[in-house]
Amino acid sequence: MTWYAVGTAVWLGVLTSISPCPLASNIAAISFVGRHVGNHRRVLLSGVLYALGRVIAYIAVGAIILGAFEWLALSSGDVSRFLQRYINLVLGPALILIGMLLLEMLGISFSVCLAGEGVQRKAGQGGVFWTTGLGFLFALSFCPVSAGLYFGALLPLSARHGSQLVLPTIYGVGTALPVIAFAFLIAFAGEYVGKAFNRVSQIEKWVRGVTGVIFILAGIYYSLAHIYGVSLMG
Amino acid sequence: MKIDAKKLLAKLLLAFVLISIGFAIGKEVTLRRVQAGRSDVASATQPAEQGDKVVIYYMHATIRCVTCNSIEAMTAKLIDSAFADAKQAGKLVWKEVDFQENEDLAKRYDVVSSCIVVVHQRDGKQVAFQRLDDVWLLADKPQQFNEYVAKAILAYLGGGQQQ
Repeated sequence: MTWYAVGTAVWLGVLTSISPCPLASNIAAISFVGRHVGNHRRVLLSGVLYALGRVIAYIAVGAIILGAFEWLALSSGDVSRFLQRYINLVLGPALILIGMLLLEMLGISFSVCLAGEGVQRKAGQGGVFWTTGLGFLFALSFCPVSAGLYFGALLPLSARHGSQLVLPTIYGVGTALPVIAFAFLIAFAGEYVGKAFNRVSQIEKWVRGVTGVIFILAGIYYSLAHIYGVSLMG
Repeated sequence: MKIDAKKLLAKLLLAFVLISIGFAIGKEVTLRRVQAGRSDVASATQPAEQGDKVVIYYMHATIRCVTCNSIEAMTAKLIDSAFADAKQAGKLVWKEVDFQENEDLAKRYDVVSSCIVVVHQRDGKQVAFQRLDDVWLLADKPQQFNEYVAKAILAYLGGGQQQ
């Protein structure tokens, strides 16, 4: 493997992440990762876990296509089309539910508690499982740009270099990098404002609420776009 | 009072989620039924054509994105400027297809995402094809994009003209 291949994988990842089509999920991810205002280590840890979720997804999909399960005889087109068709349908409702968990809205309206309070608290605090799971889900919800770059450019590159692990990993980290950078920006900005007014904990609570709202809005957006077929972009 | 508003909002959102899931399932079932019906019709009514022909498909997903639209526009512009004669003569055909609705074409060309597929047909039958996945990498470099797409078209169009 050459530095050229490594550089290409990072670049493809960043390109995937900064393209306009995954914007809504990226904004949700940024607020989710960056909402631990006043705690740099937690923001960093969340960022790493988010990247980990993405990396796991890209390695898993790559393994399915590049031959770990040859008996399945799936082409990259089959897998790509399947994911684009179904994960995007799931994404909207899932984001709304996560947003409701963050705002502690579930359980109030449920006499039979679907998600226990423990789950809500853990989601609110951003347990390991949640942040990684979010990265995993967002990585699998391919939009045209990410599908084109991952299936059309990264996987052929991985196949050429016989690299089923390293290049997808680098690509996954590349897709998470802009999100982590912006999450830090938000966390620092929040802390700065909070310190100036001596109200860090209040700002943190506020940012957490905003995160929930962003998730619900993003969820409604994806539901309208993918389920109801409303064209929201030019 | 505040709690009541939150409760109401929560109920509304849950209702939206449930309706969306139901709608998604309904849409999926309908789409499958339509696809099953259409593939029978399509294979029966294929007109026989004579001679060489290059068909350029722009394959896109049901959801369009900003970059996808610019790829389509760039290709259409290239064809209208550099291959206008061939298009006029019917040697070159430009088609836009939703690959998520047209499962047959998507399978035939193993489409992973929106892309350009250039197909060489002889007497109505497919002889060769190229799937241009790199359009994504060249979308912001118009000159290289045009060269890349034109090269693929010329490979088949040139062959057709020599005979």
